[in-house]
Amino acid sequence: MSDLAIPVGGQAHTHASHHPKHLQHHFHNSAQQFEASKIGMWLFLVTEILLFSGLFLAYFILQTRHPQAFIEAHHHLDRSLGVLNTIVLLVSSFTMVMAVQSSALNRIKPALVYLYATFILGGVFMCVKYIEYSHKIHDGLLLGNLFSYKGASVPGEYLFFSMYFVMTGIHGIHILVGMGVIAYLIWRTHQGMYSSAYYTPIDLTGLYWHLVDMIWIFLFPLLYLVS
Amino acid sequence: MSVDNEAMETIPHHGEEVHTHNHTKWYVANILTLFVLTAITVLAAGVNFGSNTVNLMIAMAIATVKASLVALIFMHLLWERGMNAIIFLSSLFFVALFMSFTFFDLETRAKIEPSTPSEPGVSAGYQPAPLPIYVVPPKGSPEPTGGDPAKAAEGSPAH
Amino acid sequence: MAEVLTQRTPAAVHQPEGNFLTENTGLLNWMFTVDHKRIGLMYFWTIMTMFFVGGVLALVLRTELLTPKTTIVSAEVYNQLFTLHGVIMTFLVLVPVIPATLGNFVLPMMLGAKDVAFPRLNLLSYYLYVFGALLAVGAIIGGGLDTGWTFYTPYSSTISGGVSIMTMGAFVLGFSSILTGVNFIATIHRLRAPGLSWYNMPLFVWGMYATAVIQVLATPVIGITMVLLLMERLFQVGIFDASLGGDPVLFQHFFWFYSHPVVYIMILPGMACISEVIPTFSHKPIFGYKAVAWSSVGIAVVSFFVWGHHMFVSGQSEFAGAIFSFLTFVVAIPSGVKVWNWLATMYRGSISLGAPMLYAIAFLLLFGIGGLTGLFLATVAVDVHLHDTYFIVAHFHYVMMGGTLIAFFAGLHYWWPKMYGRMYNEFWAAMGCLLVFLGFNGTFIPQFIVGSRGMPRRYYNYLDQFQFLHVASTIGSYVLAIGLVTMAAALIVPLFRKRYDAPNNPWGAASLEWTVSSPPPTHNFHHVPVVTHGPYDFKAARRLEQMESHS
Repeated sequence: MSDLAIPVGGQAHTHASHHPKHLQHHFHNSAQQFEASKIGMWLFLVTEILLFSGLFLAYFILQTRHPQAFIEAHHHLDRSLGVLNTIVLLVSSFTMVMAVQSSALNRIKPALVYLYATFILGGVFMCVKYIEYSHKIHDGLLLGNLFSYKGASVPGEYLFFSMYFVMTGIHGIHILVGMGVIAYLIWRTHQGMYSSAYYTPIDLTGLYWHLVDMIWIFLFPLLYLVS
Repeated sequence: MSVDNEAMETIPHHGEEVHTHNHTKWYVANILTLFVLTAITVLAAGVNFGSNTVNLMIAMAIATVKASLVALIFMHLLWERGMNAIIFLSSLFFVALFMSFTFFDLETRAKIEPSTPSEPGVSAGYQPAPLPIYVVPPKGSPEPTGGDPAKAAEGSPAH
Repeated sequence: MAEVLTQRTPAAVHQPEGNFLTENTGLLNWMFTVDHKRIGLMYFWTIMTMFFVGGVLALVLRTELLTPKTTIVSAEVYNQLFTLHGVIMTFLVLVPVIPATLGNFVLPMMLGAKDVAFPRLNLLSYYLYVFGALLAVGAIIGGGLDTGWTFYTPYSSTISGGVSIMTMGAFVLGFSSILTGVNFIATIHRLRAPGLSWYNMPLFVWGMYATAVIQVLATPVIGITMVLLLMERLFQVGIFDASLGGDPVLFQHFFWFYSHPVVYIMILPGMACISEVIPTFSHKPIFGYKAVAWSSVGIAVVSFFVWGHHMFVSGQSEFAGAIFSFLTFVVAIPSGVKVWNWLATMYRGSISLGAPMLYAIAFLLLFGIGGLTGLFLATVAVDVHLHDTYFIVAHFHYVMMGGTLIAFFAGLHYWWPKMYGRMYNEFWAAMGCLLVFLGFNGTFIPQFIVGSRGMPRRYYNYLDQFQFLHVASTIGSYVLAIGLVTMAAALIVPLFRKRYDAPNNPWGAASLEWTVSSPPPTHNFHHVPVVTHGPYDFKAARRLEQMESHS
């Protein structure tokens, strides 16, 4: 058996020449490490999908039980801001995927530009959300027992706003986390950490960012286009 | 020495990354398609397709197409090895399972609590409770910050 | 082969004398280790501490139930204690016990890997576990939580006390569990040694894979359930509140979509241990390898179809009840496949009755009882009578303790020599197993009887005619406790005796973890192993071992 086995050195790590800095000791090569990280990220995305599935299920149940309340309440949302945010997120997904491709092709300068663009678009999304939230807070269109809108006519409108704030809130937290990670990537790219030989963090962040975009694709019609 | 091919695959021979193709055209086409589909979603919401449910289902169908495009092209499932796609699709299967069984229960409650619908569009057997406009917190409502032993002791229900 | 060989410049191959226990000692080295073996041991001792606490609570509860009225604690304290016992045993012991300890320790070695795919996430998972455990236990003790481990609304959303902190604790613990699952799946897919095809993997790995699938798919749902419960408590968002337009039974759907599969997160690793112990101790390859392997995956998938059987009398529709009842019977099929294959493996094998095998046989008996009584409960009409009685309590203790924990003990004795390089004391281990078996049955058989006569669970007082059975159960629990102490002594005392030094492969097993020294070197393998025989091909393994020792 030992004559066939591959010597990889004891714990000394003296096998330097084919051992790039980013490669962790328990992987054989960069490709194996990349594929393992990738599968791990997809599994994480699965957990995200199931997390949000609970919210969607709660939404569907409340919506089928109180259709009038949901229709009435959704009129308080500004549809054009919803469309704007959808476009912003879609474009940010495009810039993100371009950042991944650029780094894979070893074009680090453009990759950096695309990362900045993605970060800024995420920021724009959050600013629009902030405008929407402050408007709702001002009108008392809030979740659960905080709902105090004077003009409410259909019973149970607070249910819509409960779902609205919980869903967009958790989604917004995901955007913020994504922005934080992208900021980290920008910092590391400036340091020259990434190249076509190693861009796994950018690739994985891309997957995460697209998933967050995907969830918004479902949230947008559910919240802004009920009728 | 017969070494299984499938397991050998777990140690790829190439040191270089695989994704060096240029997909920019795909990405541009994809983002434009997504814009168009967004417009269609908004327009479709203005049309009455018969009932609330049908409109909702149409909106969800378009959203599913959009999400699939994101997954296939932006997330590279189109060009990747199958395992990641299997993982992704399995999550959708379990989401469907979760939602359909729960709905199945809620929609068949009629058999044990027969009653008439009061709101249009409400499923046959379910009688929604008359809802308030505002939520008035009941007396002695929970203190959000739990964990205070003194408070908990007095709040602990008697048995 | 050649390509793999040229992957690496062969470095100076040297044989370190040390192992993962003796190299880089010191508290900080342990606290920040990313070595899967050390993390496994850290998990092991933490979980055993929690198990000890949960066990003591069980003894207090049983002592309280000696008399129909107050014995040693008040009613309020009793409610908090059974909540604490339930939360500790399910979330803090049963869920992580096998994957995080034995799984972490042996899974990478079984695959011929140096570590799990994401070692740092592995360490993070441990600290999340510790943090979540502190939150959960702190909430119950500090906040006097008495909801039971299920936190059903509307009670949990309206009482004051530590529910909010507890939900955060459950959320954090869920994260810890997810990280373990993600790690295992990625490791199994991407870090197998050359020659280790899927059907060459030990069945333990298959079991871990199935478990990890459930961890990844089900655990997020408990996360969002806890978030919604928190929202319900903070803002009365109305999702689980009927008077506000929601549905309290919806909470149960959410809760059991996670918490039924979680039962299989507990039992599948147990079955995985048994699948290793039985062939090794029968000195016979496993009967029906593929059937056992795929039945793990089958159980994992079907486990998601059955959650409604917890809600037969909760106001769920009777249609849904009938469907869930049928689907619950379906789970019995893959479980039955496993049991019959284990029996067929033992049939005409050359069985040696070491402690792991004794526990494995105890597992077969106890899990048989636990599984079959589960079928009674899956029948809607019977469940209406037995729901929320001691029958349920006895049933799930047979599956959880009689199944998972007994299997864990089997696996613990089996891999103990690998973990510490010392054998356990065979005689006292056998005595421990006997006492555990007798004490366990003594505790829970009376509970089956008292439950079928209508004694509800979680009650503080009871009717006088039930006292005899309660006393019998309490005495059983004391015997069980003595058995567990005996077992611990049989494992721990030999650690300090040189004459118990373990060889590399004390059982003649054929999977990769037995080819390295006991305890293993820090990086497991000096060379990447190439797998040339199946995990239960004991003859081939012995031939290779002899060749190595001659060369």
